[in-house]
Amino acid sequence: MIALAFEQPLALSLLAVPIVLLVIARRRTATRALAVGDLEPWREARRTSGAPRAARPRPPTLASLLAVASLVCAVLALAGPRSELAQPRWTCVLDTTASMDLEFAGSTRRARAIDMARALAREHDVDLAWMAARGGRTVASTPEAALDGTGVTTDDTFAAWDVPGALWITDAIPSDPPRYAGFVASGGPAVHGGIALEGRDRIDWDGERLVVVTDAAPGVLIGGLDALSPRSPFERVLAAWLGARGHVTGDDSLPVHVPFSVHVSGESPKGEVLAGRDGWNASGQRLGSVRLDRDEDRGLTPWITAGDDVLVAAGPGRIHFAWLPGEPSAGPEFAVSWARLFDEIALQPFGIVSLDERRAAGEARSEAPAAPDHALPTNNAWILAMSAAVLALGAISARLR
Amino acid sequence: MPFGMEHDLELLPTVRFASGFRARAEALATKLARSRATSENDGRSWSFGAGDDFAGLRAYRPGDDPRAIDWTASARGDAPLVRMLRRARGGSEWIAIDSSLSMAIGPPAKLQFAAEIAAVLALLAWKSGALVTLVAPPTRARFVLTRSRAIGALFEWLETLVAHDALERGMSSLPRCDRATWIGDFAGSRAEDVARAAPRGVPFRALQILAPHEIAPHIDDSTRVIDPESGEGIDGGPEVLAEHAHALEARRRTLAHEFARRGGRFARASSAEPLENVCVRFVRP
Repeated sequence: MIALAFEQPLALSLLAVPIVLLVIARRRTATRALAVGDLEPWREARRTSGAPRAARPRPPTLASLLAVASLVCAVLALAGPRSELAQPRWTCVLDTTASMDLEFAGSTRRARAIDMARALAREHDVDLAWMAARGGRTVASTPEAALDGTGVTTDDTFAAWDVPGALWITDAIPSDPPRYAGFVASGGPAVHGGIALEGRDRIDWDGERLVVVTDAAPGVLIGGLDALSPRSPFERVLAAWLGARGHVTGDDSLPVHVPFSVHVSGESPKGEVLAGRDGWNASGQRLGSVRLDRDEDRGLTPWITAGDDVLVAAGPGRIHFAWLPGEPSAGPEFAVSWARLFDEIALQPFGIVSLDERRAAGEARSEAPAAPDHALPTNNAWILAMSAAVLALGAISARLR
Repeated sequence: MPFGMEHDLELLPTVRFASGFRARAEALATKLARSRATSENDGRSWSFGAGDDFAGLRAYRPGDDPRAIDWTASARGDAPLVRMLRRARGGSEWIAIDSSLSMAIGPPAKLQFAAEIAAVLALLAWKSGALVTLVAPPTRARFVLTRSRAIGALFEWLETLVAHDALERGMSSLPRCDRATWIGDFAGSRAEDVARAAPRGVPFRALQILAPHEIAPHIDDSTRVIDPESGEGIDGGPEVLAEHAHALEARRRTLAHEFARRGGRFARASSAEPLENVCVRFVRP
């Protein structure tokens, strides 16, 4: 809700001038008096024409209305009007890196930071809106809604929100503090634990050194592979990528981690389509088009397209196929292209957080952002002043006409 | 003026003659004097009555007023004879200029126009050798224009006139004189006012001056007609314009009738009419 505020509210007292003029004009034009020397002919005329009638007030003249409007505009220009939210609101930009999920005082760094943000908002009597810091622009009313989905925070995203009214929700004081935005850093001690997997082993950090825990890595399972043809070019590349990353295919004896899953959209083939990217192409059966408009498809971005149809889309932890690639053109481009996608969308195993993320986040600290400046640009005042001048000219011309 | 009303007209209570008006008035008076002399030679000036001199008899001509026939002399001859009269030299003439507040109504202001006409009539009488007395009821202002007095003083005195609140409505009486002239708007005048204003046995004439908007008003639904003297008002409106015109004409007829009953003449003029036209029309025998 937009409200109007003024930089010089005292100037509004000058509104009394047009108001008084309007009242005077209204009184002057209430009725028009015609002075005559002899009322008797009028009395006689009124007697013979019927019942007495009260003179009806005349409407204010166009000139007087324009003059009053001109004065109002001039006074408003002097007062410096600006629009602002009726209830000031900060937009909280949530850090979505893994460190925010680390345990802190029986909760998490994220929960602690959110509590601090809410306390700061109460202190400044502002409302909060929430959004995840992963380049999106969807603003939610709760942090949970904002965090729906997965993603990676980049410094660029925070930097893009260095604006008045923005509040960064993070764990460590930013190394490059914002100029206009505020921030809430939950702080927190270092959290020991796994930082990486190597084959069947897990590498843990105990606060001082790295420890290899053998046979502690979870098995890896790629979901949905049954829907694809065995020994298809895609499966061959996937197997090569799993081997290169040291992943062990999961079995019942090990905890299983699913870095991503595969989904196939459509069932009936709709003909062969030649498609590709990154220097490769392949012919394959088109099954339809990947839909991106459903809630469950949020986070997917097109990866291979043919005209307006999305043949393959991918997002964190997911690959959707509406086209099954056959044998690709010769060369390594096919494998390199897919491997890059797998690296990009693969989710980290539960409990595996990089060493940098696990380090202590320092002291808790909060800084309120600069007030959201919803003011009209200063030069909007001269628009009002110009309007006043135009209205004044109109009043003069209406008066002279 | 009641608060909340807008004066559509200015009240112009004073008199200011334009430069050159004196020469214009004197020229007009001279022209009228010549015109009257011609009429006298035609024998049609009998009506000025008392104060005129008998100049002789001549044969009746078609167009002569039957009342000018000298029946005694005619009985002695074969053809009807009419009396020829010459304006008596000297005598006394009173000119009354209504200076009540309603005369300030205009534009053009009625008082200004009345003063201009009074100046011409005074000069005309002065040229005929009359002792001219000007008064400005309801005030006690008075000016006597004698043969020896400078003409400039007449104009100076007329410029001292100011339209005042009417202390007493209607017309005041004039003393007995040889000729009398009333110039005013006759606002609210009744038959008895006219009788009081007209000295018995004295030839007199009355000129009613109205502002243009009093004769042909432009009014709308928001108009309230007011009398500045009394402060009274009445709501106007386009629907009463026709009735107003009828009432105004009825009033003109009533005044003309009342003055005629006493041997006087009555005329009405708009303050916007050319001075020359009004004077010629009013002075014409």
